[in-house]
Amino acid sequence: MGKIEVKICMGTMCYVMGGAELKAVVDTLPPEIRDRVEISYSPCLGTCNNGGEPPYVKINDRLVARVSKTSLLQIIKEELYNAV
Amino acid sequence: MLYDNYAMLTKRELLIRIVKLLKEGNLVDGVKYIPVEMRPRDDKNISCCVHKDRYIIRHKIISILGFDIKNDEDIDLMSLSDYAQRSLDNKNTKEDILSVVHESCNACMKSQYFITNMCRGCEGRPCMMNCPKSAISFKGGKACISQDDCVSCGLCAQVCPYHAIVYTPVPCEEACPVKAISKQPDGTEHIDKSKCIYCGKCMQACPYGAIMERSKIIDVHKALTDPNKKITAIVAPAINGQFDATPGQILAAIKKIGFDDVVEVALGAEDTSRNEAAELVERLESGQPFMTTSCCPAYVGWVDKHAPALKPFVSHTYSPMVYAAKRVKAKDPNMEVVFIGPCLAKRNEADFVPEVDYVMSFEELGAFMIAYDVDVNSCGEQELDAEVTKFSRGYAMAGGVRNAIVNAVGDGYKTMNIEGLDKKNAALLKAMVNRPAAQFIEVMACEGGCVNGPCSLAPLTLAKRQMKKAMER
Repeated sequence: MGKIEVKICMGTMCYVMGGAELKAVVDTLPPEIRDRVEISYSPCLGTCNNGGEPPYVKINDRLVARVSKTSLLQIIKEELYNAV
Repeated sequence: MLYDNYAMLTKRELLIRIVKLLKEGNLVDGVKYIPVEMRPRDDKNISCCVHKDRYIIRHKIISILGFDIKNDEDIDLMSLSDYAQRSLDNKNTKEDILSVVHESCNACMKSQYFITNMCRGCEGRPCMMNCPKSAISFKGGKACISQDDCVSCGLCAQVCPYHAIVYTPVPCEEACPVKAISKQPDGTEHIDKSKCIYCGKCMQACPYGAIMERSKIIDVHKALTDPNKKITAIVAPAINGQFDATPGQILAAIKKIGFDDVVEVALGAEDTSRNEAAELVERLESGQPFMTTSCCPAYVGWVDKHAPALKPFVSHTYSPMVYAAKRVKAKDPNMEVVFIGPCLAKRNEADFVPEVDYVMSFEELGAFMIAYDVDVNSCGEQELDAEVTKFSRGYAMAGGVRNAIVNAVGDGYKTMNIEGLDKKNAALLKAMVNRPAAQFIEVMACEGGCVNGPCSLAPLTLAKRQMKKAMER
């Protein structure tokens, strides 16, 4: 089973609007989830500039807006469930 | 602490929108659209209706533009565009460092013990039996607390077998370490300036974001863009915890916004360490039992207003901000200086330091970076001042000033550090006057030190990690 790709946007807009929180929470993922995701930090994903709802996270190919530390976990779980 | 809450993000979004408009030169016209854009009619209103949401945004904008928000009549009669124009014309004369957006603040009940409808009116009635003030009576088979008699001891809540009694706190009042914020008869909060130490705890605690700080972003932006003015940013060492980048990259990123120069406040910390170490040795030799640091302005304010007996023991050495600003002004007296840091109390300290012209928070810096399209990680390296040691950058973390002083005087002295001014630490500090526990005491009002300041961008765990990484580079 392939790992799920989680790309957290670290562009300045996303970082200031809550991305820093996401970065802090990644370490606290439960181990069974941590092992199944490939987390990376991306430069600006380019969607925030005109309006938009930062912070953005890209899960596999899906771009999700206004992610919070609780919703991040939820989205990862959903994606894992769909992958099965 | 309320990280990850929308009230905090609302403030940041407002700052970003306002700096973007400033950059486009469109503040006066553009500002009037912000409330409608941020609070569209979409049935997702936060308060009773969309109009109140927009009205609250309006108040917050006026505060960020640098005006007092106490007088509701002015706010209703003047348009946001008028305010923006007045702000650009240097008429933004707000003095209060913290002010309450009254429109937003009134949702909290007075803090009290409250009997919920989980109360079963049992025969045991331990709440009534145990209440030392006989404040509980039974009406219609349910307990009822007479708020006039209740002293909020909490015994009733402890003994209720159904957990039917809850405590409803007022978050800002709970967070304030010096009881400077309290309710007025109309239900809104009032900050008593004679008690406030500007630690920023209330601002962080309010779930409505109703407490706004004084902002100078309009003035800083004007200095940045005025061809006749030169402005240097002096940046607190805590900046190294805010981004996952090298200190050189961070300085380069700030310079890219358009500052004529960027200087690490850590350079001023070199002067503080040297002078404070000499002062410590001198004081101990002259027979004084101990000395505390003076670089945390919230602590210094606390001593002034709440623990005057400690005053003779606080170091007279200037804070790193002051030394850094003095260095800049010594080189070029016409240079304007903006201090950028995670601290609210620095805004108060700077009011008394002629060398510092403006104070900006890391949140405001973030807004400038976004508006000016600056990405820290893609910036090159600015050359670092060779005089700055890791001890000076370490000032930002609890224990860092102590390390720097020990490094300067040697480890023959008994030292300690205190982080946070909660009840326990306040009592501990006050007791030092009679029974000093160490010869050198570092005090920081924020738990964890400046990296945990009320105006920072990164949460503490991340900031600490990034800070350590930056120090190793």
